[in-house]
Amino acid sequence: MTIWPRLPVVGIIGRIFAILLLALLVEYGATTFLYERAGHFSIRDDEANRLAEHLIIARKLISEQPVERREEMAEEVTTSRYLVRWQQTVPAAPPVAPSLDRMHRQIIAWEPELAAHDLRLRLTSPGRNSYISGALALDDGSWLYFKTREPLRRWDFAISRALLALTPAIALIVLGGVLVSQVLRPLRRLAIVADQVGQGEVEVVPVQGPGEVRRVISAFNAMQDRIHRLIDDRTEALAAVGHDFRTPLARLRLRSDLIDDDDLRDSIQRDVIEMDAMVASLLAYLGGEGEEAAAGIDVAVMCATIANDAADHDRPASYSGPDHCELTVRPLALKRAIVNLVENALHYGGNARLRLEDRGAEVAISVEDDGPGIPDDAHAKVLLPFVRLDRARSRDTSGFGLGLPIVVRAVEGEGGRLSLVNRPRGGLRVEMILPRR
Amino acid sequence: MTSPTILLVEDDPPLRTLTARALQENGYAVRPAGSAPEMWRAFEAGPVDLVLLDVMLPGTSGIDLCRAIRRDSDVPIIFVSARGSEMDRVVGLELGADDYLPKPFGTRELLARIRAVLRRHAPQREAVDRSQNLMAFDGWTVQLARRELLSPTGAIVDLTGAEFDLLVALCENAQRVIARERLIELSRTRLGDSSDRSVDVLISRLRRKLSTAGKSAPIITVRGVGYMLNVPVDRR
Repeated sequence: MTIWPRLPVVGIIGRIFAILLLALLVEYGATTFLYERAGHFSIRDDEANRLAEHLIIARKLISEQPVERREEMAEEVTTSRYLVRWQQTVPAAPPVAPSLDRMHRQIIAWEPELAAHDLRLRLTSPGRNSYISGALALDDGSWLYFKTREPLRRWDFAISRALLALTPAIALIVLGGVLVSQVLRPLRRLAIVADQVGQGEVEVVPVQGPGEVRRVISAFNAMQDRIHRLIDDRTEALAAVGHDFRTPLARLRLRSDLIDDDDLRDSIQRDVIEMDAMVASLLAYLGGEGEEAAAGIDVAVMCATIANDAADHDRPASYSGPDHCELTVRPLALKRAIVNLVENALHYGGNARLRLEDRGAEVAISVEDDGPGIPDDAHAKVLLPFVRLDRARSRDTSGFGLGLPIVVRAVEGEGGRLSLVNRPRGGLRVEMILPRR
Repeated sequence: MTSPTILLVEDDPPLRTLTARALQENGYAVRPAGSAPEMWRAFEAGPVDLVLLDVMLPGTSGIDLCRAIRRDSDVPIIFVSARGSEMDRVVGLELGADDYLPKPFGTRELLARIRAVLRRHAPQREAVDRSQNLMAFDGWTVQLARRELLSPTGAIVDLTGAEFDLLVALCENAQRVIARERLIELSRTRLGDSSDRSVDVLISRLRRKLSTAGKSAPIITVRGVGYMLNVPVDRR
């Protein structure tokens, strides 16, 4: 949804200009209106009447006095409410003081006589309070100056003025925020989808928003298509490679059965098993075997079985933990991950202790060995595909270096966490924490 | 007894030759086929005891072929696949294949699978038809084709190959005592598994894996004789 439906597409710069222009217009309009409004301030009628009467009397009393007595008289007519002064020249108007047209009319209406004497009214606000001040011309051209001594309807006046001054600012902030977020909304959508590319279905981002954004979205959608096509092609190609590779392996395996030399036959068969395991790990890592559905499985029994299988082949693996622990996971992916950890522990550490701990909301499965561990600075590196730390030491290692990356994928697939720790007394401990869903 | 006839469907000629040779040397009559049309012709040539079917034949999906064979025949089928994918395995088994053999395979493993499937379909055991792929006892379900055990709550309970075979043997002889010697013999004949773990160890593991909260597994020891699954087994 956009607030500019069906309009010609305007660019980001155009839209931001439009927003600025609009903001300026609103600001200008509001300020003008506010100053206009000042002229409309009125005081209560009785106050206007009292001021009008006081002015009439003061003017009369002061006019009747000779010039040298007028200042004195002005002092005398000063009350607790009004300050009155007399001077020869017109008092300067305070710098920022809106005139009070409406109040002027109120006063003139009560004492029309004052209209003939050039009554001037100003609103002055030295602090938070507002006062009315003004001047009145006497017949001889001298001036009577007056000012209210009590703040004028102090609070509501101040608050309403402050509110009135804030209103356009608030309106501008809200309006600007809404408009800018409207312009940027398609970008946010794009960012969300971009985060999910490669994690499942293709989600086409609707092409909308400013021209530049539309172009970015179109380009992104096209790129997303290409990426998914590449992934699909590669996955199909891999499945085909699996087929093509395993058929000659099967021939080799069957041919090896015809060899009479036991040692030769066994070593060829071990090679076949190793090559097959490499194909399997590549397919597992690159997802060449399709998505697996989640199912309920007793992971405690699975861990026990993995340890039993290894132990049955005379490899020192053990399981400790509860007899049963049901969890909904992708069974094969998780089993492959745990088997990889156990295989790593057996290969690099010489033994494997598989543990399971049911913590209620999550299940921790760990594999420990008594081997040399992995240097702390290499922990992140071993989780990367095709990395084998001992390659330089040319130790006998099989596979592509996909064991731990496959574990990482499996654990991520279950929304879990994986950690590697060198145990204080030596040996590595790898722990996966799986949430119970 | 005449030797069983195996229809071998494999598109790779050298592998077809090698497999055929391995089978013939072990007493099977082999009728090789390199494609789907050849397979149908081979069917017409005479009775077939078992089909060894490569899932990824060019032009046709092995899964479709399997479905087509099943439409008018009950012949045992073993899927052979290079994909090793669990999905293929499950789909194949659910479509009515009797077993699944991933490439690459050795002669021993091939023969073991064929023997096991032929034994399940032996004429004297006509009662065992294909739909009887399940054995249920005490809430537990053994899925023979998928080689899977499900707990009373429906969770998959993973067993080692030897443990699964032992459980199947116990189920097939439910409520009868099986002598230890017989069980040892059964585990010895397991092919493709170099484990020779003692039956007692396997039994104790099975008991732990088949226990439920507050209830022990229904496997009892008959002192001096052997073991027994002491609950009835329901075959489906």
